[in-house]
Amino acid sequence: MPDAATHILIQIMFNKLIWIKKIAPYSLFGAIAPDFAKGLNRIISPDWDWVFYPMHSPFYMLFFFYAISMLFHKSERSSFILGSLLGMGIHLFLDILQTNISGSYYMPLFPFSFKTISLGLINTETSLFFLPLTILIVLLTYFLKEYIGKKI
Amino acid sequence: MFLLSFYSYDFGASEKSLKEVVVSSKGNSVPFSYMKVYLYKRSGFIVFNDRWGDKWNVLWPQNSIIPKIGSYASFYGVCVSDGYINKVQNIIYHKGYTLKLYISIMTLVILIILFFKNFELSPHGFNRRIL
Repeated sequence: MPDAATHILIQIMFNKLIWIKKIAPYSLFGAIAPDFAKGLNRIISPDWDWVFYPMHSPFYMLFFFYAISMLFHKSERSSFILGSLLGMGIHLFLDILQTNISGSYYMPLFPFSFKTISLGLINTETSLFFLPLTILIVLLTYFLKEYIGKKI
Repeated sequence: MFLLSFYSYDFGASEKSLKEVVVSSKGNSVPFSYMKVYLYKRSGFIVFNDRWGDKWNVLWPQNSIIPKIGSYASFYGVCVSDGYINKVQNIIYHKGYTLKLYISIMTLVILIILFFKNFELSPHGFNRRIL
C-alpha cells in the first residue's frame, strides 16, 4: 500500500479536479478506510489476516460503510456511503498498481472470486520517496483551481 | 459483513505457511516476501524471520546491499537444505516500511482532528457543523 498521506493527497487532488463538494470529506475517509486493519498484521497471526483482506473489495466495503453510516444523521448517510466508496475505489486503484513479490492480497472481486490483482508498476515504498513531490503537485493543483480558475 | 469476513478467514485457513510452500517447491525458486532481518552470520548468511515466525538462513549475494537489522526485504530464492536459502534474486528493499506506518498514523490523527472540527454529534448522529 502507498502511505496514508499519499492516499489522502491524491484524493484531495481528485476532489479538487472534479469539483466534488458534498461528499468530499467522506471520500477522504474512504481513501484510508481499506488500510484500517493493516497495522494489525504486525502483531496478529498471519492466519487472522484473512479476516481483514476483504477490506480491499468494494462489495465488502459497501457493507462496512453502510454500518458506519448509521453513526451519521439520516440526511448524510447516502453521501457518506457514496463518498467513501469513491475514496475506496481510488485507494484500490493505487494499491493494485504496486509490485508484490509473492502476489498481493488485494481481492477486488471478493466474495465472487479470491483472485488477487497486482499490476507491478510501482514499488511498495515508492510513494514515500515521491511524497514531497506529491505534496507539491497537490498544492499546485489547489492553487490553479482556486485562483486561476476563478479569474477565468 | 461478519459472514464475509468469516468466509475469507475460512479460505485463508487453507493457505500454506512459507515453510510448507518451500518444502513443496522441490528446488524451484520461491518468493520470500516481507522478510525481517534478524541477524548477520560471518559466513555471508543473513538470518531472516518470516510472518509465521520461522527463521531462514539466506546466503546473500555479495554484490547486493546488505539490509539493516530489523528492516524488511523481499526476494526470490531456492531452498538448498532445511532453512537454508541460496540463489537469491529480484531483491526488493522495503526502505521506509516503519516510516510509512508513522506517516499513516499522523495522517489519521490529522483526519480525526479535522473531522471533529467539521462535524458535531447530535442526538440523530454525526452531522456537519453549521458555520
